[in-house]
Amino acid sequence: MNIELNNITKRFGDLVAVNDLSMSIQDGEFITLVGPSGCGKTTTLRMIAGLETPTEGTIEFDGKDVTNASPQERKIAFVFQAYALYPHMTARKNMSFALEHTDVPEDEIDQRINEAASMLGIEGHLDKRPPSLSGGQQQRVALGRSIVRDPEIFLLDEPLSNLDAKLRVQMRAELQQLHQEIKTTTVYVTHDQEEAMTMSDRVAILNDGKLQQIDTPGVVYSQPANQFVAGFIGSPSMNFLDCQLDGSSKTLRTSAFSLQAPEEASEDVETLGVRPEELTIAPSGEGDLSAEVSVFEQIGSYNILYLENDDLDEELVAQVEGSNHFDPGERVDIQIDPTHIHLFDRDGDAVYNPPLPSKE
Amino acid sequence: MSITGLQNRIVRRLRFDRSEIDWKPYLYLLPAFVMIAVFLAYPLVDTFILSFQEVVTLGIQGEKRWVGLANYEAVLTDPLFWRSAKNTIIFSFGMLVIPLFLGLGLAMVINRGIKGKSSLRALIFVPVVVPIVVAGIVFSWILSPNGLLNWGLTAVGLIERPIRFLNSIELSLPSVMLMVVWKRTGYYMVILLAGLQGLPNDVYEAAKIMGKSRWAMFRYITLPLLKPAILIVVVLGIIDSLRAFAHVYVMTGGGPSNASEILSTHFYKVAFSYFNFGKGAAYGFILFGMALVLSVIAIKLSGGSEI
Amino acid sequence: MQEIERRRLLQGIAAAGTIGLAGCGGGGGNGDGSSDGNGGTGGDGGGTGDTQTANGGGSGSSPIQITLRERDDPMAAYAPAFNEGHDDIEVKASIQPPEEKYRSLISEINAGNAPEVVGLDVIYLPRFVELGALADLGPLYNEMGHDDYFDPLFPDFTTWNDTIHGLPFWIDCSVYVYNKAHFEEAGLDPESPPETFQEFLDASRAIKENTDYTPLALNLAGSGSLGLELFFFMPHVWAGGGKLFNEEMTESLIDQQPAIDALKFFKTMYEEDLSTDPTSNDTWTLPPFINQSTSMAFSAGYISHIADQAPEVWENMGTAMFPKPEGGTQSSFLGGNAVVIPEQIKQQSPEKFEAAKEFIRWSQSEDGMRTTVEDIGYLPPRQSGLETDYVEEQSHLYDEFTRAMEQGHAPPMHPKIIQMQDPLNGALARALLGEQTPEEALSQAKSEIDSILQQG
Repeated sequence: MNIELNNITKRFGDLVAVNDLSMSIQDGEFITLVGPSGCGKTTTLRMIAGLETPTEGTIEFDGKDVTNASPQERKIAFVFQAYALYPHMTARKNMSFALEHTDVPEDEIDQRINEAASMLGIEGHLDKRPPSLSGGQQQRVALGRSIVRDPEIFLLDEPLSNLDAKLRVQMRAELQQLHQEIKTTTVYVTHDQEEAMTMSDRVAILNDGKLQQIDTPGVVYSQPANQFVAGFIGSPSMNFLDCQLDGSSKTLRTSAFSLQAPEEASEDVETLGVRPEELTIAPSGEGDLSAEVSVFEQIGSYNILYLENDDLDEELVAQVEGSNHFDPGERVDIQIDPTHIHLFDRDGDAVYNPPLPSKE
Repeated sequence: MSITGLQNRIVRRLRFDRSEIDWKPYLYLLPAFVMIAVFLAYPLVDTFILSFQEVVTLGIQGEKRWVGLANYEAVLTDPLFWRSAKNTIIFSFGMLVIPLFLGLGLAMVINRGIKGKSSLRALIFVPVVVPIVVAGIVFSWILSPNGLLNWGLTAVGLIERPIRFLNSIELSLPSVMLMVVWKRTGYYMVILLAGLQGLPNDVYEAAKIMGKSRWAMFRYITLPLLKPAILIVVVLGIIDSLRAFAHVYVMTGGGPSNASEILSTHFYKVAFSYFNFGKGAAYGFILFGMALVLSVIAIKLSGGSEI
Repeated sequence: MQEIERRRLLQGIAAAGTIGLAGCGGGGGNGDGSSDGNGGTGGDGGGTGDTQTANGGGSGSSPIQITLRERDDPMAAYAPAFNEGHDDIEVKASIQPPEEKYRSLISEINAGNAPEVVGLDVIYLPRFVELGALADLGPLYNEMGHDDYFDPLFPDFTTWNDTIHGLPFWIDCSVYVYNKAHFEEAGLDPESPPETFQEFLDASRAIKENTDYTPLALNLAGSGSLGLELFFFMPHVWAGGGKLFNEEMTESLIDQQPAIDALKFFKTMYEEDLSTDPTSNDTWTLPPFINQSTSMAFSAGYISHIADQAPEVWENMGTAMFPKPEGGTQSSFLGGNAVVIPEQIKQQSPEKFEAAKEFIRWSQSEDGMRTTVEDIGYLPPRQSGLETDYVEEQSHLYDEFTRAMEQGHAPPMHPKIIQMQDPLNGALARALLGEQTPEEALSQAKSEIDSILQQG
């Protein structure tokens, strides 16, 4: 089912939670709304669900206006952050409850539950009550409860945030797999950019109630529309340095070094953005600048350096290969690939992004 | 494992543990334990023993005679006991059933959020803090032949002669129940409201998305989730129905002609007015047993121990 | 009487309530029956006893201290009155409201520290004798040799199981009071108040027709006012020769004609609106009389406070004995307290026992009786107690009290008398409220009282 949000605004008193948001979601798509807390992503999801009504704007499902339709008229399923399971019902009852007193016959309810349970791997837990299930199992029951209803749209509100890190990664994969199997339009809300990047067909980044960018994970990562997106997506975050463009020499100047500017660079550039992995360690004397290691974080497959240069106000973060080790206080030379930089203007809008890496 | 092996292990553990016991926690518990023993256990045991005895003479060397179950038999064959028991069941509707329904309704209205909710909540709770004796006296005034209620009923022409609410065979018990309902509703409302406010909002939203009706949400979500709070109310109601004394004593004294006699007022007469020490003790234990059994039944019926 | 006890208890509960018992369900808790008795305020008797005993009867130095347990503040007046004439004995008054008084007395006796002298409501006498709690005062009675006790007091008031265990201390009798001005207004002779049921009904009807007053302030069967059915109703039964139970105490006689006649009399009073509600829970009959909304009131003998409260009423007030059926004899209920000494005082301390006996001797003397009449406001046990200048001055009130003391009845004495009040109270309520005929109601009361009597 297609979802069309047309200039949606939602106000709670003086607070503008969602500001003039428009977005169209394709049938079968897995889309993620991501942003810091308070950015309006959950409110947007709840408006799609029908739990909130937009103050302005319309919502269309397959071209039909559902702005004021009740949740049950929208044929959606909603998975809550805290699962919202009924603690007094068994897992099976939690799943069947949605279908009781509907026109679904009883044997079909059973069949659907069993299918969902085996899909989710909770066949053995159907007769337990939620309090005696683990967080992951509860999450699966909550998913199962949604699946058995055979909804047109799946809405998930930070469903993994109550799980521990390891389980979160595992569930992430399972959710993707699930989506592959059922191919239902899915809107997924998270504050975790990594979840957004790994799971979605497209990612919508929101800030202060406004849509910043909506595109595939590859695009939002490589070609962020603005400085906010650039900083929000990717971990560790992109380095931002004040800079000016010398138009005559096509040179970007920061307080510590200069770089060859790309062709597209224009006069109003104010900020240079470089992802940590694009800062490479150069042999002594060959780098664009030299800096002192203040902190060395060993991650394993890669390591992270926090670097200080006397001429720069900002601290630089570099990501290096796992085999490279440094000690705090050590001086290193840094090289920046001028084709992999991002440039932003005074308003933070992207002036230059490197081209997308071509598939090989 | 062989029996002897097991025994050896236990013996070894006991030997080992004895030297290792840390007495300090027990030392800290001692004052509380002594207080309980002196003020709770001793009178309880003493009374229990007394319930199988008859006091022949008073005094330090006072003579007591073992009478077996005669005291219990005396209580249970007393027609007034059964009359009082029946009245207590009726009374429990005022103490428990009616205010439970009213309190639940009010709690849900207030929980949903209406205008003036906090002042309404305070207003409903006021009766709870009014001392029972004061409430009894005030209701006695209101219900008296020249009281407010009769004045009002006469004024609007519903009745010609004042109704004697309190000294009426039919109306005395309902009159007391009226006061009790007035006092208990706010009490239960507060407990149930606390329970309601503790319920997560998302389960209702989940049900809303499933298209469940209001009634279905109440029946299948609110009621079951509120069960612990309701259970507290039910157990309190049962125990207080059996303990309620001043309610009846102040307003009707159990009359007229025992029409509003409940177990606790009858017990009071037997134990403290008639000086039937053994029978009184037996009566007390019967009440104690009833409270215990009924509470356990309530907990079992509700299918849980999560009180 | 019970009615007063209840009132006092209610005051106590109300006070406790305002302090903060709030809605916790008041008193009466359910679990521990007898242990509640420990709640008493402990004895201020006996406490100093041991040292006194150790000192022996050494004359002069310090007086022997004994405690008098009574129920109302006015009774504290006995202590100074006695102490004034006694250097070797000092009485301290310990006042406890009735409901608490007997419970704490029992626990004090059980603990071995009972007060030396107790004013015991006479209806409790048989039960306490039965429990072996009271010393035999027969020898003391014989030794004193007074021969002018009012007739009804011996043996009934003082004797149980053929032994004298208490002597009459202060007597309260039931009478009715009437307002002479109202009588005149109604066209009745204020100097000859009605004496028979019929005269009483006629007078009441006259008051109702000719004045704005309610004729009689009455209460017989207010629930929870156990006591009035004996105090106010039984004299009307006795007046017709009836009784609560037979001499052998095997069978109740309350279903017989005198009781039926008496109950019918009250039913008529009630049905014709000639009285206040006799089943009301408001047990006080004097207030409506004092504020002149009624012309007559059934009353106890304790009326002297009216002089202060309503001088105008006091000026116009007459007392009269309760009416009787045709051919009967007017009667009154002689209640009040007997003065007793706990048996354990006799066992534990001969000195204290002697001191206690000395107090009783004094209570039966002219001096003691004067305290009863003039300081406390109740009636004395002996005729000479009413032959004083004070009584002479108030003869218009005391003449009828004197007659009541002569013609009245001591309470029906039985260890389970308190228990018998309940069936009688219920029967009166049912008959007056029209649930049953007087015959049915009293017949039910008889069978209920029979079963109490037969419990032995």
